[in-house]
Amino acid sequence: MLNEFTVYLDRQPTDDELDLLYEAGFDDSMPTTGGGRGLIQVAREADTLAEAIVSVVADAERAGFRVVAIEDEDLVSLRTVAERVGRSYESVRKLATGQRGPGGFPPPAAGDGWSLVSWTAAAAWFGEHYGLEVSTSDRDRVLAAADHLLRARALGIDLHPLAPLAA
Amino acid sequence: MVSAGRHPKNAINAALTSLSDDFEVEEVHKGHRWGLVRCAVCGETAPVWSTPRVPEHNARLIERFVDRHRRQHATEGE
Repeated sequence: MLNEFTVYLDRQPTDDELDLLYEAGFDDSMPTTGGGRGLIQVAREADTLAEAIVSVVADAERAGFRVVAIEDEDLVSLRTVAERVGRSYESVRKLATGQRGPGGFPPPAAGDGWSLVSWTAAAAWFGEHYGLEVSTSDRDRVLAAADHLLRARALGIDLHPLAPLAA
Repeated sequence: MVSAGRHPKNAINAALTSLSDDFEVEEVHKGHRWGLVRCAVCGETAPVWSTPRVPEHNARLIERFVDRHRRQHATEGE
């Protein structure tokens, strides 16, 4: 199965390092450089998306890089959530702040206030509380989970004490 | 626009020759790099391998590079 996704590296590769990436296994992919950052557009054959992601992270480390994030399509505004679930923005905003509804809406993931929220988490919340069948594919969930794990690793702290959270 | 010569893999050559003027192609012939594709708007570049593992997949990767930049620069203009 061909797995296509994009990962962020910890730095922009030099021209010579592009060859190191090729030799480390990225002859199936396309690193990109510019603006001081490095990305790799991946097209990797693997039985599962998770296997593809793990192998990409290992290959990048072999070339002297760290994968620090996966291109994130999961963080969206409340307006986007509203469009996708068929409600007004004001309705979703009040659900998100607990002014209406059962509460427990997924907390904001970034930005000030309620600017961005995980679509995967918001969709699951609507499914549980309102029976909305808003599907998020396995691909979305795996990519979102892998992105969060990679960002946690990039913080440079010992994550072993937190390992039970991943169980 | 392609100002470079012909890539040895047909699938990649087809992807490169169909690029619009927003993207430049340059031959490099260094290491594993036949050349590179550059977004003329932001300058981001990507190498085009001489011997990619699966040429058809790399042709698809060139298309993804183009799509990504078109989306990015279209929203920047809003």
